[in-house]
Amino acid sequence: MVADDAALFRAGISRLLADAGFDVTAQVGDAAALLDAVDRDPPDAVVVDIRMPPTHTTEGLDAARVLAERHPGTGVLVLSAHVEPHYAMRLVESGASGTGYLLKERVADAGELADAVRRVAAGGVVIDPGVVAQLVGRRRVHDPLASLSEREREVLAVMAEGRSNQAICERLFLSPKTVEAYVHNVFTKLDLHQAADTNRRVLAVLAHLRA
Amino acid sequence: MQRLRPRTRAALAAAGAAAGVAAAAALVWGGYQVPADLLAPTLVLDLAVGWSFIGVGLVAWRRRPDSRTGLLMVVLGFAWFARFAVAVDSRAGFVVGVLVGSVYLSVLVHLLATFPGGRVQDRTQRVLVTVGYLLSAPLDAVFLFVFGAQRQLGEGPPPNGLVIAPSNGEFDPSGVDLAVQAVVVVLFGSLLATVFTRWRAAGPAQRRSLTPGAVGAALIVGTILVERTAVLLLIPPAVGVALAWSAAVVLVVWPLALLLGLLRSQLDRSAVGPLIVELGAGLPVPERLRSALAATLHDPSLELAYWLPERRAFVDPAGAPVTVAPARGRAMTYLERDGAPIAVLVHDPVLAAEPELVAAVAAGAGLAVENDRLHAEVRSQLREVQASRARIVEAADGARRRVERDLHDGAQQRLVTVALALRLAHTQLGTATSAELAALLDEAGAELAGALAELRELARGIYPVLLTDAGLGPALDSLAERCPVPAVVAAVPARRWAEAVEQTCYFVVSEALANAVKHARASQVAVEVRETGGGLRVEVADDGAGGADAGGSGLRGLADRVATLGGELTVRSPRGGGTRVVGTVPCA
Repeated sequence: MVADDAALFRAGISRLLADAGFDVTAQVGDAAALLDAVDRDPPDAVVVDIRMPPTHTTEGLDAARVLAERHPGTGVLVLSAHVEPHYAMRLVESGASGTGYLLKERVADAGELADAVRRVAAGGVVIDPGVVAQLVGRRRVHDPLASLSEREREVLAVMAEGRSNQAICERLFLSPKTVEAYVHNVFTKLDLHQAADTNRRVLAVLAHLRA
Repeated sequence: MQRLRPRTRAALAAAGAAAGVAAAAALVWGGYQVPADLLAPTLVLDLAVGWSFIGVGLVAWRRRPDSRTGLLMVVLGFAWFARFAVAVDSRAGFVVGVLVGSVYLSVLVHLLATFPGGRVQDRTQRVLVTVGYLLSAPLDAVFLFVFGAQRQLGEGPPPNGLVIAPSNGEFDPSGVDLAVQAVVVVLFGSLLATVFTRWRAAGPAQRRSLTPGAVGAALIVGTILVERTAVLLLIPPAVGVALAWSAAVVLVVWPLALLLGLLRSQLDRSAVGPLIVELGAGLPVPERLRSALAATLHDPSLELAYWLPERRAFVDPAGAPVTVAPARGRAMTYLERDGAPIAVLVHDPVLAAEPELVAAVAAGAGLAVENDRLHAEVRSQLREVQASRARIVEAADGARRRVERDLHDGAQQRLVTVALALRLAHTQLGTATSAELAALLDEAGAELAGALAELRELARGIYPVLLTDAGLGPALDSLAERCPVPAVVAAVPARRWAEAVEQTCYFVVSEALANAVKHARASQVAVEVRETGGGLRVEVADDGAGGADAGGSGLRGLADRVATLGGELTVRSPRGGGTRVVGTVPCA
């Protein structure tokens, strides 16, 4: 299901998703219509623009929060033009599984969009690499990340994007054992409690990076 | 000098009267024979001179307690009478009479040299006064005890020219007398020059009260000079006698001339009434109050500056800022209302000697001054607002130009490149390999991504969307996250304020952070937002090089922006001591 007030963009995304093998069940132009459509026929995932009528501010985020309560089984991917960790955090902090914050321009890469939709549909968390880069790249006086090796920092960034250990292995071409060791190191060095599941791990890492 | 108590004054007046009577008695019954035709005029003139000095001196003392002139005049009067001791035909009378016989001339020198303050103020005056005193009692003592001046018997007139009579021809022009007379001439010549120089240097107000006394002084000294040179040049005795008489007449008149000067400033007090009437007559216009005060105080050079407490600065009646600092030849009088300064008069120093007059004028003009000060304040604020409005318009235009340039050089250029690449791909559809086409399209994609990133940053810079959506705290956090210098934002109160307040605070932080990055070479920045009693206080402190110019366009623009909300921006940036920008914005 796709919600965006720009008809052309909406149609474009629907087309890309259909090409990638998804079944786009509805296309709507604002948050209220989206909620109605989901109530009638809950899909596996929703792609929603953060900024829609009537106020053109954060309707997408608000809709995502409502959906997380009413339809926990539906993943929500919010598309945004802003590299703002604040928004991503708001999404993840709502505690719902299956949420994502992706920059609009990623849709140029059909594979990336499809991957993100699949992950939120499966209950995962997706954080745009640009947002993570901003958090990791932040200048600090006493930078806790300074104690990390280059490789560990890469692992941390990919982890913050919401990837599982398996995905990290694939992305960084590492063995599962090695990835586990890196993840363990990162958590130890940052003095973080190693969370049980991937989603809570993302939250812990993001919160730490924002502190 | 102390204010003269009425009882002391009465005692001095009585003593003066008694001294005069005693002097007259000594002349009449002292034992010497005064020619009958000379007795009456001598008595009248001598008493007139002595009493004139004592009486007028007491009046001057009361009017100008800050000046020693009154005291010197009183002393001169007593010294004048003291020399009549010589008219008593006895050894003691002779010794005392000779010793104090010319002290009055020394006091006269002292009086003239230091007029009108009565205090020795520079080297010339000190030399004149010292020489003047050395030439009287000490020199007379030398004559008396070393050369053994002889007392004449009581058959003729009293000695030492007490009674003006033709010289008996015993003067020895080649002796010590000649040298003494020459010194006296030089002394009085310098004295005359001093008086004239001082009169020329005086401002109009000072001249007004100086002139009568100075004219009298010139006459006296001129007469004494001619008289003494007449002796030196052996001018016929008859001329000398005439000159001596006229010198005595001038001596009577001179204290009266001083009294005239005093009466003049007293007359000025009566001008305060018309001033009040004039000031009450109409709306104040810049300059009108100043000219009215200048006219009343007889000081055309008088300047008026108003104190603006909020700006902690002086402005002129038109509202333009002025510097008020002590200057040579100028004196300042602060006008106060309820203990707080409201204005300052910069004027001729002579007015400082008339605190009562200035106080009376200030009191009379008080309401008008306060009124005019408020007008000056409004005019000053208007100037500031006009200047700030001009700067704000200029800053907005500048910002637009920058946006245009950024769009033109950045995103627009990239989009043109994309259009070109697509057009190229289109024309090569049939001819190029798919790999070549893919490379072309990838290039277009990369350019588009770059254009998007630039547009995103540009939009953020123009207006931070987070500020409206989420408030000041998240917006400042986001700003700090992007800051190339480590920036820490202390917990910002999580409530929302008026949009204008939040925006202003945001831009204060944004500009201060940009400065810390660009100019200060800071290694860290602390941002703090606190709620104060009536508003919001934003502080940005870095540990950089300092020396920021609060008048530079960036900070100036910020100050203007804060001022539009009635707030205030302060910048402390000592060289090498970091920069601290504090903005306070009132809000409900």
